[in-house]
Amino acid sequence: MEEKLLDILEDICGDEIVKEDHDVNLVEEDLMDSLDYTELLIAIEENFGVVIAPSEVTREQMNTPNKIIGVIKSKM
Amino acid sequence: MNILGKIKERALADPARVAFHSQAGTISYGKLWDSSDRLAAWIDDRLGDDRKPIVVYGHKSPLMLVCFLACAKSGRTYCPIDTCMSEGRVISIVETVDNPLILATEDLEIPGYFVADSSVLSGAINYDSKISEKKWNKPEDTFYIIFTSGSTGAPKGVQITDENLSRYVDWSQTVGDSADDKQGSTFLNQAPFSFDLSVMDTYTALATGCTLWGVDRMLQKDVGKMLRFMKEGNLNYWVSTPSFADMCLADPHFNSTLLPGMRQFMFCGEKLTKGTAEELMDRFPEAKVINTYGPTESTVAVTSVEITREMIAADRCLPIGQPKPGTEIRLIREDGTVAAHGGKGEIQILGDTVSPGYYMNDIKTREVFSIIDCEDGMERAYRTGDEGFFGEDGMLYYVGRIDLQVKFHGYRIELGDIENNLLKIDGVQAAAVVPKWNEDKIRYLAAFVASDNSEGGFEDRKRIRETLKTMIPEYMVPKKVSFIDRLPMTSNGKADRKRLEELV
Repeated sequence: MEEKLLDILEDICGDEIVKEDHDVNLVEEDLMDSLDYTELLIAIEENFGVVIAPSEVTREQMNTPNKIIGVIKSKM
Repeated sequence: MNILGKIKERALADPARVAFHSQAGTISYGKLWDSSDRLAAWIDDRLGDDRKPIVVYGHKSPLMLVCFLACAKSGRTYCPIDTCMSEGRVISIVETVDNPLILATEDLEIPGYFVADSSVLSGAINYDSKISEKKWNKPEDTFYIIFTSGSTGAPKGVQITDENLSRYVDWSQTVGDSADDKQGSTFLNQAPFSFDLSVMDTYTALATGCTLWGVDRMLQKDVGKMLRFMKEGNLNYWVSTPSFADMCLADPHFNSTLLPGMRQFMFCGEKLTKGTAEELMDRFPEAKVINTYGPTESTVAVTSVEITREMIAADRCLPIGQPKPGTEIRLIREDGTVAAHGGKGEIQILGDTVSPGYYMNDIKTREVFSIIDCEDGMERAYRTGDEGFFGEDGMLYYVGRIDLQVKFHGYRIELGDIENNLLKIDGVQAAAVVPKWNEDKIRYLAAFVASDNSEGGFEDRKRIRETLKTMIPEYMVPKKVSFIDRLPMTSNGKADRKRLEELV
């Protein structure tokens, strides 16, 4: 799952840093805007069957690859 | 005087002078003239009333020039095909022109056609009769047909008449140094003969009594060896794409110590960047750097400008120059009207070097060619698909390909515009931006950047994106930035966009 998610993130963010540094801050580094974030939530649902409503988690809880993996795991 | 007349004059004046030299051999003006007279007679006897164009296949053999001139002297059109072309493409061109005779200086086999190979040719250049000048191409006859690599569909054969080529050469002889100053010097011949850029060096040199120094593909694979070969020729005039010069500049030995006779660099076929121009000026303080612009459909180039340090320091890209005598440039706006001075529009070329159209393709011809009633009478016109504008300095500036405009998130974006800005960023030597497609929709834009002082790590990629944000609107900033050693090139030495799109 982690590997698949990192592929998705790389595709959405357009930079391989997400695979090299799992704690990179996607928002601060300007790698993920709100359009990308919506795309990410849809991709997570399509690939892992995990539904994350934008209202139930804050962007801060989802701003690094590691945090995103954690949230998905907690819902699987 | 037309082109064959000019070459004849040089051949009679100095028959011993070398006309062409490459690793494949050497030919003098006298021999070139005599051999092509005889081969022309052989062709004419063999083909009789058949006036179809003749495919000339090969690479950098001196016999290539003999074949070109022989076709023209027999009153026929030639179609140059370089060995770098794929077999499928060679067959498609051979079938399009459909002449039973093919002249080939390198191995070629095509069922159903008679291929005059180098052994047949070496007999035919000693044929016992010579062609009469009465048979020569007339001004309105097609001198050559170059098939463009057309990004989509079947290749289009651009017909260039004797008149087009002759009026082009009248001008190209005088670009930078005068024709008299050029006489007897040595020109680099690097582009394949199937690429119109080669016309710039080949016919300018032959009409001016200069020696062509042909660099073949094998040499180009070994830069060290190639530079030694260039040194041996003590080149004076350089004609290539900027990408080819960049390849040479990657070697620190490429400078005026290696080539002390270098007087002029002439570029066409691709955007000349400030980085390339400045580096050449630094390494060759005595040489001029000249930028030119023009499509295959208008022979080779129709504008030129000598690049100055002031132009490099200015806060915009380098100009492509001012139109040559006999050429008018109009900028056509989207609604079909001519743009006011300073306004952007599609570059339309009018004048004496504009081709009569594509070979046996009236539909494609009518799409881009027209005849316009001007003050001086009717002029042929060609719409280039390039966007440009005139600066207040009177110079034409190139913006980008109109077909490189993409719609993304509702915005109309000029990929060339992003590339121009990338090139302004410190350390960026070459850049190309391509869309990442998801079926027929663009997902995002990806930039490829060549730089020799960056590792291409995350901080470098971030710096590129952040610098761009200060230069262009955020929606234009490519989401993905990748560093590569060198942009992939097409066989014509231009950035290979298809290949880059596959890399995204």
